[in-house]
Amino acid sequence: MPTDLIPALLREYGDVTRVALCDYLRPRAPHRHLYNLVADYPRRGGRMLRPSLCIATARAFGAKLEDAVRSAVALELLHNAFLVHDDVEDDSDVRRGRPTLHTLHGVPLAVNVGDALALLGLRALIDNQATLGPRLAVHVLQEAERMARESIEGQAVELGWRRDNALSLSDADYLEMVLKKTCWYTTIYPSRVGALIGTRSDRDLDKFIRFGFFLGAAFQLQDDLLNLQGDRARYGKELDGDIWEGKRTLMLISLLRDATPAERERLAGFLARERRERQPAEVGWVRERMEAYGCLDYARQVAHGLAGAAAHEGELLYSALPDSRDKRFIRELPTWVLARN
Amino acid sequence: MSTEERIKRPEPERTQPIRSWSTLFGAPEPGGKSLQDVVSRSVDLGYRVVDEYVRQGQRAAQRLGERSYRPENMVSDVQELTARLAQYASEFLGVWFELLELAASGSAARRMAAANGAPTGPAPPPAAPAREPSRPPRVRIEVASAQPAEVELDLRPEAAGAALVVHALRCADPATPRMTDVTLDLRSPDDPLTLRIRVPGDQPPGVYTGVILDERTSLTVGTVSVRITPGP
Amino acid sequence: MRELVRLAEPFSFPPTSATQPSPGERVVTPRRSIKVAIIGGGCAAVSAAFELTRPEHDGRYAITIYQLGWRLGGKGASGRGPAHRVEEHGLHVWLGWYENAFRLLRECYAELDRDPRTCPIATWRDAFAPAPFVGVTDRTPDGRWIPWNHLMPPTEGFPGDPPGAGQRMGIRDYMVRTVMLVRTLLEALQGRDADGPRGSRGEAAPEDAPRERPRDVVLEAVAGILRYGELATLAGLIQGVALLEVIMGSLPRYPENVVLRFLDAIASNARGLLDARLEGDPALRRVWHVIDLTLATLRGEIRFGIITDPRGFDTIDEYDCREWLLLNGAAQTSVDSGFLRALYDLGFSYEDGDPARPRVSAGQALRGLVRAFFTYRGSFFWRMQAGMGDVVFAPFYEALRRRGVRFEFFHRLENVGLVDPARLGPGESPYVEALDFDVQAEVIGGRAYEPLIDVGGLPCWPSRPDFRQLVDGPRLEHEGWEFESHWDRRKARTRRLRVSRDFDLVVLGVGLGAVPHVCRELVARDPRWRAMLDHVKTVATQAFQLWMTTDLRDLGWVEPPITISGFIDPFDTWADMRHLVSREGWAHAPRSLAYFCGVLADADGPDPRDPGYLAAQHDRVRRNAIRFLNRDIGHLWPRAGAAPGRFRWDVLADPGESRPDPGGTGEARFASQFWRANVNPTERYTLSLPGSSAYRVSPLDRTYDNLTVAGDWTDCGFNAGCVEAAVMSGRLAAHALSQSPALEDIVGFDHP
Repeated sequence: MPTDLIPALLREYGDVTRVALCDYLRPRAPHRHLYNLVADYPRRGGRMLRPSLCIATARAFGAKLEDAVRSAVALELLHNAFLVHDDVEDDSDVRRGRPTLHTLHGVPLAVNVGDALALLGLRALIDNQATLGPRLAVHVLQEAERMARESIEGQAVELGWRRDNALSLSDADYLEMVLKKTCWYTTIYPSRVGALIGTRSDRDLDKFIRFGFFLGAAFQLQDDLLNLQGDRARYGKELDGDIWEGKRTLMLISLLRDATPAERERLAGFLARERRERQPAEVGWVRERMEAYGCLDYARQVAHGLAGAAAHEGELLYSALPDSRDKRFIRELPTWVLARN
Repeated sequence: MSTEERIKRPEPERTQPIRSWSTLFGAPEPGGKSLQDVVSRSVDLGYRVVDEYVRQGQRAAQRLGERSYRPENMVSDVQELTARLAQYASEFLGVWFELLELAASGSAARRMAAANGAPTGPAPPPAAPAREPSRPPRVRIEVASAQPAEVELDLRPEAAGAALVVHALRCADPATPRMTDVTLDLRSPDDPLTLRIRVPGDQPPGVYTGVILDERTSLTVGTVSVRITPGP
Repeated sequence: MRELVRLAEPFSFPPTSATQPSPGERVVTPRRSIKVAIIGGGCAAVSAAFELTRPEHDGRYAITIYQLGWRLGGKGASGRGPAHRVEEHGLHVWLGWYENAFRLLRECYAELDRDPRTCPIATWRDAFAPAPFVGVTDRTPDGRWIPWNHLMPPTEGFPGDPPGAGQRMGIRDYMVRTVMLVRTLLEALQGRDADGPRGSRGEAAPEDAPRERPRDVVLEAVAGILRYGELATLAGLIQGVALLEVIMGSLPRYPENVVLRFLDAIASNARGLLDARLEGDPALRRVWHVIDLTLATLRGEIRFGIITDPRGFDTIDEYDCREWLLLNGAAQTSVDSGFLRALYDLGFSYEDGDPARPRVSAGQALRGLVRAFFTYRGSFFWRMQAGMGDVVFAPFYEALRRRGVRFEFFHRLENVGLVDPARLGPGESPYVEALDFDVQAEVIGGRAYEPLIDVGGLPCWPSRPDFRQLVDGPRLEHEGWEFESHWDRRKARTRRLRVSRDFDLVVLGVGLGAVPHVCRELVARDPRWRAMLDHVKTVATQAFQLWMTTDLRDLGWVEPPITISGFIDPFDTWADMRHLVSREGWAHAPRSLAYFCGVLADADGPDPRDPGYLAAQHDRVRRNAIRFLNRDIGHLWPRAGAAPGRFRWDVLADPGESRPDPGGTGEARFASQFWRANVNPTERYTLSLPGSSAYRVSPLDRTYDNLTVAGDWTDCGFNAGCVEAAVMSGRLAAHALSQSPALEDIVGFDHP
């Protein structure tokens, strides 16, 4: 039964992160307008799930909020960097209810802005030294390096699928890609860094990979489902955008698997085209075929299964900790990722 | 006999091998109904994927060897790490020089502006969407404080006309109480926005910051920061 | 801009001393290292020591290994006798799925980094060679024994490599592979079916089973096959099996009764097709037996719900393997075939050593079969290129010495002393308070005993202790002190180790047979240990080795060197070990070398407490061997008989060292060979009797908070007597004490 705890904590930790974030985005002479550019996406707001998870994990393990804030900020900055680049790669028009950065300013500039955001994130991690001590700060840097590498590799895999027009992907392929591309920086890194900061020890961080994977995968699946079925006003991206982009979601993969040979051929043609050559009627047809084969239901069930596994792994990880708001927040997350819209 | 505590084995996380994943979340229904089947199969698959991944990671880590953090290692490690991180964000020196160039010449911005149909001019800040033209909103600030206070307000143009809210201002030091008596009012669209700050007499000196949000969209549209210095 | 550019410049943290924590850091360092007493020197104990002394532990664990007698190895110990010949306990062959064992061994060799110019076995590839030629023997109706030999195809990679994509298999994968095996066998038959009906040749080969096909399409095809009798031809049968592969790949999607019916149809059609020809064609008969057994396995896996049961193969642990196969429709002749008998023989699976009582847990047997056949890397078998002691335990001994492990030889454990329960605090677990040892002999000068000898550049263990290093050595030698004999209780003195003073943690790595003798308190106080001793059994084994001056060809064996089993009791396993001759030190090198082994039934004759018992058992083996050579070996070596019932004793190679009758004739020549009765309690082989798995104690069990157990008798994930189980157990024991290696890192621990 969802409580208000998660929205409340997301707001609270989100605010703290935003405030600290502004520090890094503060326009500095003589390039104020550059910083305005860089600050655009972060200022558009967002759920702040990742930084909140990082802070909540750290606090659940006994750290102070201040110890975790910078790492949370770094994460949010990196997240925004990915968003900027994602939007460029996907050629999307809308992000968080407003035109994408490259639509406003062109691709080259948008790419550079994304890079700058990532660098600022790096800066925030370096600054950890002052609050966490050099040894711990280096561990966090290591985690960030790994997270960045995994995300980029995962992204490369996905882009490769689109570029090569991959048609015979399996659920396992999808999950592996999601593990790297999304889970690392959405749930695994925040949990690991939170635990790192809270326990001041880097032993046994691999335990968080499972939990983070299941939670992040459920989160991503729900995201993909919302893309097809969400409330447009609240969702903030165009509906069916993933189909327009030819993104290999679990729905698309299972459609490719279940379709008749004739349908598959038609799908292959659709996917081989550039985004701008695709027609609304075709997108509609793909969407309808997904419904017909129950691909959406299938993905929903898979998301349920993974959320359940996340809840289980969360129990294993966190049950020994003393009770706190943060612990409850983390434990309610698996349910929340499915219930949100 | 020494008074040291006798050393004991650690507690094991588990004592049994895991022989199957597929029934981790309840027994499958007889005949393998599809819903439970999908759910349990997806969990099964999920565990296989992540376990294989973890295993490979451990192999790789072992191959590369464990790093222990002695001071002489740390410097080069940090350098290496930051270099790699920076690399992921691409040639950063190049990035910044490019950006600088653009900023200085304003050429790209002008080109963009021309493409979007807005009037060209010397390096306009390309922050606003090309929809409604907006002027920065007028703001009136009322401060009531016994101690000297400096207020800095950063408000974006799109805040104009929106219903705004500001949350309590916080200080970096957690022990310091927040400043909660901060409000933003807009009586009517024609009146200026009024920021009211009341500083309690016992508020410790420091810098307090808070975000200003568009109430409807939850988007951040500005920040306010108040610096309290000790009184004379 | 300037701030960001600063990132490009090197920057450094203020120099910090390694022991001085920075502000805000909390560093925990143990005040002293943890003393671990490891008792035993077999695979499990050595593996535990190897894990606990890894560099990443930073010297945290100070290990001492306590070993009775003069050599490490336990059941795997070997020595060098006259002519430096290798003298083993029995046949030790490693299988290609022994991932943990090979991994540790390879790491050990890599660490030692021996110089190949001076040491003949410098790398692990020198130590182990692929041995892909295996065989089983079948008994014909007219009483002959016919070997069935097979070259197991090599596979990619080597055991101990990092796990590959195909390494982690679930039950479903195994079942798919099993069906593929059936298809391969049938296709092999089709290939040699020169005069079969038109349908079996000239048709396109069945396509590789598609990985995914809509369920309805498959079900329709199955229904069609069943309806129209399409399985009646060999080609149709193969197509049916190909369809079965698809079904196995996503088994839960198909109704169980349909699958079982399909399996039955395949089985009966196969039998019908082949039946007519089984009489006259032994090769065909064997293939049929394997097909029958595998189909029965599949049927059983479905009927018993093994795929979905969280216990995996343990679901059928209570059944004997043969019994379970019969329950699932296998024919009696299949169950009696050489193939299955070899399986039992390789695991010495005879209760109390009685060949008339074959018993092994069906679950454990299946688990072993699927690992052995479907996950081997490189080669099915890997053969050691010298004695197991030389190839495995000497390198580990050297590596562990280098890492700082101390060895106390001639220490025999007498008792594990538990703390008096009355003295335990509230909530405190019981623990080991004292360890009592008999110090069998002391080393002169209190030095460390140097156990190895050099044989052609290779460090080896000798077959007898070096009495020159021992106090009173000549007297001990003269009086014939047998340090490895359970019945020779002589000692120099006793020694008691106390908790906290002499040890903190204990790894009990003795063989199961020793447990009743040395863990009396545990057994008396702990019902689980009592139950374990009641249910988990051991069996004595016997072995002999022959060195011969003639080639095996001359004796009538014309095939390549082989490891073959399923033969006559009691020596049902024979391995051709001619490759070892060059490692020994013969003045006149023998031309062939054969190892034989099998179970040894517990004697109900002389009193086991009699000090002469061991000698009597050795002699029993000698007589068994002589009888075997006279009577039975002719089935495999047709020209080994000088006359019916008489072996060609003159072919035996005598090392020519001080023997009372060096040039003996006839049977007396056998005295120059090597034979052994493995009846010492700690040498007895661990069985996997049906239903016994649940009674094993796990190394992870923390009932006694400073004790863990290690050995192939423990609950280690692969509950059978073999090197791999022992190594897994040792790694688990290390995990129990140090939380490393991670359980997920112990290959095959989490496995159906």
